[in-house]
Amino acid sequence: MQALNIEATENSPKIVLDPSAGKFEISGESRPEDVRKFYEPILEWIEQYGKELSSAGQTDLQFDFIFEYFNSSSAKYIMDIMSKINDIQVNNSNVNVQIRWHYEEMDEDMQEAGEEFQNITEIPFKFIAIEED
Amino acid sequence: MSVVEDSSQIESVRDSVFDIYQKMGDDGVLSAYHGTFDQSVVEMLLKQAKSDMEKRRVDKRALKKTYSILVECLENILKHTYAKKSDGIVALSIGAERVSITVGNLIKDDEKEMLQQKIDTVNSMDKAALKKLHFNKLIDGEISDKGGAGLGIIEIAMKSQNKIEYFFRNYGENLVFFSLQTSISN
Repeated sequence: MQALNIEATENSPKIVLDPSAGKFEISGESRPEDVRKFYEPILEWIEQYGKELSSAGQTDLQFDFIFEYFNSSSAKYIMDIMSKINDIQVNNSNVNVQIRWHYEEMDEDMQEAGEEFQNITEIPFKFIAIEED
Repeated sequence: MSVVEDSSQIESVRDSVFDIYQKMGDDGVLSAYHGTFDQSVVEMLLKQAKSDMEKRRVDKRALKKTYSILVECLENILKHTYAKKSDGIVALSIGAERVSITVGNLIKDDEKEMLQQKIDTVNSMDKAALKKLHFNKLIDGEISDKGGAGLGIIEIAMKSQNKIEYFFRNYGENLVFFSLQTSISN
């Protein structure tokens, strides 16, 4: 499947969904002006990719969430992304998914936001604290 | 509007500009904006607030909290202020012990009750209850046509870890001025 790459702007995150590179990553700041318009294509892509994986061999997937900040309407869509990823895991016994939730070590709000998402999915979560420079 | 009234208004601004300057200084206001809100104003205010906080050496934890809350407050103005005016006011104060955000904008008076109820509810909750409410809203809530998730006020309360102060003032023509203030300990 063709990769989906979106460059970051001052209010929207960088998206890398690239099966051939084995890289699935959302990073930066998320408070897009039109949150629906920004996230819909991403959700669609993940859903399509899930369908494609049903005919693939044994696959390990790691999704990296490296948010610096996201607003409350983005939270809703991040949850939708989580549940699409969850569907991939549930529908494909050949696929092992892991979510890696990165947060700056002093950012307890970001850490707790990750824990909240962890509670609504069955996917294994790994929390990665980014140390301050 | 007649010409005479216009020029007296201009004189009045001349008188009040110093008062505003002095009053804001006395109140510890670091920066303030009053005017039209659109996306580019929001970007400008966020950038400025971030750099002001960095210059004042606000710690990283408080800075991130303040930034998050400021985004929600500014987006509330952008999405919910009375459309014909689309203006609002925001002030940022940085003290030794806390950072405060104060915002104000016009709403229709029939929105007042729901807003008041929402804030009173989150103010009455402890951290665990807020977390639970946020979780439920995240699962059940829908994104409104205005692009809100109904989570903004809850997130402001969770992140500030302080009560949300607010007031309403009648503004005539079925409009109400709504002001919200929140503080983050530094």
